[in-house]
Amino acid sequence: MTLHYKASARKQQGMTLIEVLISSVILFMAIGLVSSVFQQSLMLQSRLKKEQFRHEMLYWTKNAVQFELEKGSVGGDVVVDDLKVSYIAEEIAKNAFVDSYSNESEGTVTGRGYMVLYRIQISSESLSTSYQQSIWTNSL
Amino acid sequence: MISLRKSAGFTLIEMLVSMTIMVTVISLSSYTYRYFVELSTKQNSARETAQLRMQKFERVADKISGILDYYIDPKYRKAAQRFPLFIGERNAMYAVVSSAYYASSNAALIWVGVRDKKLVYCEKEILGFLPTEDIVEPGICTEYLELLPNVESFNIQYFGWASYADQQLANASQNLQNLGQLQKWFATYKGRETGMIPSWVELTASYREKDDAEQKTLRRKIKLYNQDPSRKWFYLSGSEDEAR
Repeated sequence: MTLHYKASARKQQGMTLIEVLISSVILFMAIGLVSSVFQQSLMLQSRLKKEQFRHEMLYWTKNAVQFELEKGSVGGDVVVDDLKVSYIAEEIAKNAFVDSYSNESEGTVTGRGYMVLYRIQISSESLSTSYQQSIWTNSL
Repeated sequence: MISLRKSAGFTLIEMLVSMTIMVTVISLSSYTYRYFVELSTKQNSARETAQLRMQKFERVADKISGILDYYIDPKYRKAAQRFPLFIGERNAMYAVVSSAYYASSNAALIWVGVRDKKLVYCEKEILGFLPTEDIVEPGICTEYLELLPNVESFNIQYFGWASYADQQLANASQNLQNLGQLQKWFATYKGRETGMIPSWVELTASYREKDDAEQKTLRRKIKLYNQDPSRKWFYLSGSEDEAR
């Protein structure tokens, strides 16, 4: 089982193949475990950072898109910080804004505009999602 | 094992070589470890700063959204119509909010602008005094909330009606394509001149995280929810008019 080397003048005995294999496997396992812990921690941090950025951008993009929708444009680009985000809004529902109820006409009094529900799709390099938002509008 | 019994221990050379290797490995790994710890602490603190700033900014935006059309009497022309306390300059804004940042049950005067190269939010609770004149309350910024560091330029733009009449016209008209049509962007917006508060403000700033860091841009729109057509109408046709 043992391997014998003839080194220089002295006869030396090395480790067996099995010993070397087992020890190297243990060594690599230990190295792998430690490095994976480090890597995971770094990855978690960068993911957290990314999510945070996403949340912040989404918050302000929604505002910017709402502004555009109130102006009546249902598609285009908005700029938040230095990020350009393109959006497309699709009308899902539109209902008259109810002012009050009237006994005489036996119904609701409207004429102050409409509530429009949009489904909005936004996309950019680092952000892409869809959500719904309702906007008050005066237009028919 | 026979082999172990036979061997007479390590030679000096072997010891030296193995110790050199060991020391190198240990020093390298300890250096890497320290580097890793430093890096992760730095990243973590940067992320925490960013998160804190994000939360502060969102809360302040929430306050700005809640700016009130707080009506005051003109000081020198008593007969003239009352107007909301809102002074929108190119690089600062002064208004009244319904709930203060620190004491949310009280209304407060707020000021947003640049102080000592920082973008700040200042407020003074309306307690024990009533803001009557549209001049900025002195000492409003004795304490402030820092929103951005190292600000190099800051600008506010206002989107709204040029006057109350415009707004009434748009409100009454069904033919208009959209309410936004008669509104436009203004570089300055004064309640005294327009009789209204704007419906949107846009904050634009360029800043650096640190003195030597790269320049960043901030460009955000905030909606003012209390710019509600019927609210003003309600105020104007309320008990004040009936009493006259």
